[in-house]
Amino acid sequence: MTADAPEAIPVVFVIDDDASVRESLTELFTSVGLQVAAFGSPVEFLRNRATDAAGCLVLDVRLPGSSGLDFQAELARADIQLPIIFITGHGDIPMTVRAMKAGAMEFLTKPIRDQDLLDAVQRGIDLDRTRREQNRSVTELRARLALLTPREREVVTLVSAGLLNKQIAGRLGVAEITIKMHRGNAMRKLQAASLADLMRIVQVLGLQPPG
Amino acid sequence: MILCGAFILSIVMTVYGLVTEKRIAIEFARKELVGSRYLGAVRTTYANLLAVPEGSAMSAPPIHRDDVVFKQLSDLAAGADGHFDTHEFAGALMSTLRELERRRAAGGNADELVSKALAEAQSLAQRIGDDSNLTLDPDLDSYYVQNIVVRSMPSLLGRFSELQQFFEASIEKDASSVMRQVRLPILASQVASTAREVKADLQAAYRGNSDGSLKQAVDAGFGAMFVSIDSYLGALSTSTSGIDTRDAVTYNRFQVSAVQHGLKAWSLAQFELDRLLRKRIDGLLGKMQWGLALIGGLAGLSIILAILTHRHIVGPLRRLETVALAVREHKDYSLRATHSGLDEIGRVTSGFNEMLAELAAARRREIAARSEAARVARLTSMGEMAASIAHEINQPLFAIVTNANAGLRWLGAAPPDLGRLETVLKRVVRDGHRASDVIASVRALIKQDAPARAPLSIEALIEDIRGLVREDLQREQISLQVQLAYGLPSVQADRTQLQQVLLNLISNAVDAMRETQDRPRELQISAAIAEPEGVVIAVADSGEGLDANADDRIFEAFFTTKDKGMGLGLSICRSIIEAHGGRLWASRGNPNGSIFQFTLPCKGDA
Repeated sequence: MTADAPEAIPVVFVIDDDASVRESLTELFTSVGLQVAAFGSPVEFLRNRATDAAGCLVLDVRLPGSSGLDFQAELARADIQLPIIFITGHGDIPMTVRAMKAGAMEFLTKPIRDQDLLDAVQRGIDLDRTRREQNRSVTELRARLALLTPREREVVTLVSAGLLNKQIAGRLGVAEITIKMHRGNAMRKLQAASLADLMRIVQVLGLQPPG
Repeated sequence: MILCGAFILSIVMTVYGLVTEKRIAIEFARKELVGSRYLGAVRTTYANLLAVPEGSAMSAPPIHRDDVVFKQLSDLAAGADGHFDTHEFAGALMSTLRELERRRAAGGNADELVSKALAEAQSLAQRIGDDSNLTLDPDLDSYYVQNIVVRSMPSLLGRFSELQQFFEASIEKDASSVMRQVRLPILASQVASTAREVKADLQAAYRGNSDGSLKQAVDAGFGAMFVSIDSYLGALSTSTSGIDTRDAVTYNRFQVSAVQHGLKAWSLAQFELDRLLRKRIDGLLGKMQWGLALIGGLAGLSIILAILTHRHIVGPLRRLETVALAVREHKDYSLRATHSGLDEIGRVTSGFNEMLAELAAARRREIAARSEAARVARLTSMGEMAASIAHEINQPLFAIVTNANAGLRWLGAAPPDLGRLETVLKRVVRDGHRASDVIASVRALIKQDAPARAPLSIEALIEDIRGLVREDLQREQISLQVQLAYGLPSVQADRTQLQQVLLNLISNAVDAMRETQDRPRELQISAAIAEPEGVVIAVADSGEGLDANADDRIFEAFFTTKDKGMGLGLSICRSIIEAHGGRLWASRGNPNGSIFQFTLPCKGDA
């Protein structure tokens, strides 16, 4: 359902205060055909980043202005969900644990094999893509859900709770034929192929049965 | 000193009091002695007056004896007038005596004159007694003896004379028996009663004389006198009915005997009085000597006590003071006050010593804590330094490896992208150089362990620096002032390292003034002699000045306030200066900018 949507080219965002390191990382990622954007500091990144670009973030823990970990927290607060790959010269265990708990995808300690870094970046890009797809499908389902009438939504919720048409009719005080009609309309509007499909959609959207 | 003065004063006062008191008593007794001598002269007068029976032609009048008496009396009157007011009485007595002499020479009746002379002699004796303190005598024995000498004996002898005159007159003029019968017993009983007075005084004097010497000396004489008086009065009483001329000789003999015994007893009593007075004076002198000896002894004892006190209290206290001063001056807490003994001073001394020991221990603990803190700080800064150096070298190395990897990929691409490869390889070269630069800058830290020291002239050092930085300063529009004190000593130092330090400080100063627009950019380098450290060199700028927060951190390794820079500069500078035995510190300039100063010792023994 998303194959025909134009896929954004993923970008590797490199943030490092050391120009040499920045250049070399850019070179490495370019050499494997990745799109790269490098920044000297978090502030510079926040200022220039293309909105909602896909990709991942490669960060040195030791950053000018604020530490990489602080920057990680800052990104989380700003609801920027790029996967983060930390690289560090002297990462210790507490620092690693902290970064991972805060949602870092990878924590690489120098010296770093280039393949490890490239793999991590690739995983990050994939992860970001998956997440984006998920985000995108949820958005679409929400749009379909919005098409339902309140009664149809009510019926769908009760169906997902495992009630039979007759039971639902009894609870809502209407004829069973009416329930069948609502249910058919809802399935069509939500583009649910089967009852199982309907149940998955309800779960993804997090609909709760009333009462 | 005040105590000493008070002590001496009290001794002097005591001695003065004692001597004055005794001297008054002795003067008192001496005056009595003079009176007694005077009375001796009066007694001689009595002897002369009474020894010559009135109207008798049997012997010539003893004029020469009177002459002696006159002379004695006049001498004494003249000499004693200062003390005694006897002039009038003595004068009257002497004129009567001269008159008597003339009368006798003319052969006239002298009875009246004799009586007058005796009365005057008695008055004189009385006055002498009063004026010479004799009548105020403080001792019982001498008091009663003087009473006998001054009052009773003259009175007794006077009554003898009266009785004798009446008796002789009654015989010659054949006075009526009635008159004799009335008058004679009265006169006789007067003599007897006076004799009883003498006897009573004598008994009282004996009682007052504790050693009995008085009685031994005078009892026989007075006893003989009383016996002869009794015989005389007895003979007179048997003849009251009728006396004829034949009896007169017998009576006369009795009378002469009584008078002689009286005079003798008087003389004895007077001698004894002298003896008693002399004895009293001797006793007083002895007491005074004893008192003085006692005071002297007490004073000596006090001085010994004072010396002992000084030795046992003041001495140790002074030693304590000396030690306390020495400790304060030299901060040598190993000093101890010496004093053995369990007395208060000993306890104070041992307490003082314990306090010193406690101070020494506290000081040792403090020094240990301080050096431990310094050691920890050094270790910490070493660790930080190591971590930072690792980081600084790791960065280019990481870049090199990453670039190399990228290069391999460009090479392995089909077709190989040689253009990219060249770019990458250039970067590899550049980063390799960068890594080696970092190592070169770190080398200074390692190198300082074995600096090459040689005598170095401060003037030459600063002149070299001036040449090295001239162009940079001109480019930055900074004026340079150099102030060198006259006669700067040379120091033992590593020339290159000191150049490095100065260049670093100057470079910092230039950086600090880069933003300075509103005032002249001035760099001042000065060198002065610093006692006792040697030389102090200062680099002052007119730049931004130190940030208050950064003040104490600027010398830490890898601390930096600059955009570019490793933060090693000042840390290395301080290490170099401290390795030379000097100090490096920073302060704010006046009115602006900052001053970095360091000292170097003249004799490089560090």
